[in-house]
Amino acid sequence: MSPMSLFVILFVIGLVIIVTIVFQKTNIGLALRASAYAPEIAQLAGIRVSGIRTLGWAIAGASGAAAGILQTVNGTGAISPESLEFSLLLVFGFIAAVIGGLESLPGAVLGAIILGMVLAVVQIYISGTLVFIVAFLLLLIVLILRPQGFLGTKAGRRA
Amino acid sequence: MLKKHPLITFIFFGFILFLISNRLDELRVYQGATVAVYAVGIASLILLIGYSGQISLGHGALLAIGGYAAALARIHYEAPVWLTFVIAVLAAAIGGALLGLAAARLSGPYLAGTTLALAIGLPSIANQFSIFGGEQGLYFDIGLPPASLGEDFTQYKWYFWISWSVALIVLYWLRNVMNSRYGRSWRAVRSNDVAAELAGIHVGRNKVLAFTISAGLAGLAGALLAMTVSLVSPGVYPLVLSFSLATGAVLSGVTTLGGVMIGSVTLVAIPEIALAIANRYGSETITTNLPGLLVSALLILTVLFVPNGPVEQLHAKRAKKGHSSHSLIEVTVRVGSKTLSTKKK
Repeated sequence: MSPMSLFVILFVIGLVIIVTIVFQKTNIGLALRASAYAPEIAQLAGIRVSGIRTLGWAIAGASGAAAGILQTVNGTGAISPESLEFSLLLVFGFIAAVIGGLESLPGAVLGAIILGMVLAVVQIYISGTLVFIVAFLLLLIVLILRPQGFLGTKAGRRA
Repeated sequence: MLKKHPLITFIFFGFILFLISNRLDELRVYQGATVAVYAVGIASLILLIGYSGQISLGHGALLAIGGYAAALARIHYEAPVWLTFVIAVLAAAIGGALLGLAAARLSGPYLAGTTLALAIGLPSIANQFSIFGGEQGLYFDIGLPPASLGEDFTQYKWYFWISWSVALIVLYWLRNVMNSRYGRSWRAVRSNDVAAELAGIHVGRNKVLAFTISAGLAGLAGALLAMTVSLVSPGVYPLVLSFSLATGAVLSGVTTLGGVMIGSVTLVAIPEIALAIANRYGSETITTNLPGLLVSALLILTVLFVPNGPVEQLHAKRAKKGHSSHSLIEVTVRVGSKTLSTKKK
């Protein structure tokens, strides 16, 4: 393990702790969660939902930027339109988040670890070309068996 | 005229296309066939997004299922051309039903992400198993046009005829389905699924049915696409195709079928326009990047200014002046934002 990988791991742990504190302990975090859970009721409680949504986008953008930086320093160290391949970051990121539970930050980390392990096993023992379809199947299995994700609390939709 | 005699209008439109196809050069005829393929694909997406309220960012994968099914049937069993299309529809519909069973439990971002993951994952299956021909793909040949059509009847004109006949039949059929009981139930489910359930509509079943039909039509579009390029390969159904179809659906307006031509013509025309601009002003960089830029700009402008699509906007404007009298109140989900707007018609 290179020092850079260590830095990435520590950075992610720090980021998760900070964002968790913001979400759980501050008024803004409460407003964010309320707007996501029930926009109309949040509005009735005096929260400006549209403004909070914009803020949510800003936070998402900042975390996305952090992910991009980490991906670059941990990889080749060079940046180009191809180095931040969106299928990797977007789809694997999304699948990891769903596996862990979309409303849980530690869940995102757990989901990423599970997804990474499964994909590494598939890549080494079966075939590198099957990585994406296995990721899709994993997503489908999780969505059918446990729609709220491993660490999610809210009961998921079932039809 | 469209309102009172839809069948006559469709036949009339087909006749005009027939006249046009005799006067155009080969390239334009080929592009015309592509427009028909996109029209079927976009119509299937409109059925899904605008009528049943489910989103799919991976429709290209369903097109690929249809295309591969048609090509395999043609190569291994030498099925007649019409049968390959039927097989394409059935195969994609089965795939869509399976996906729809999972999709009915999902909504919003979950569904978008799942379908996107499918579109990214599916090409790897083609590379893994040799029956699908790998990166080179399979040859899909529907044969020469019948000799009775004359000596100078070209291959591309034959493609044009087939794809437009299929597209017009599909659009006519879809128009009727959307005005039927099923169409009304789907719209009710899209507008408010709790209210729809209270009114006695089985929400899950309706969503799966809409997904299945949409997938079947997507498979048909995939087989048509394979026909026009005589090939099925992962490169024929790239991820960009899924996004193009979604873009086309938004440009057409997802709540009405009427605008489907706008989207499909735009998708074919934009690379052509970009090429013309690049030839005049610039270099190869412009040719490769301009189409994407134009499409994205157009998409953003559409969502900002005519969120329900140009056709719907026109209807709304007319309704304001008191020309039309449709349903009393229709709840429309605006594309792009999650705001519910209740509008009187």
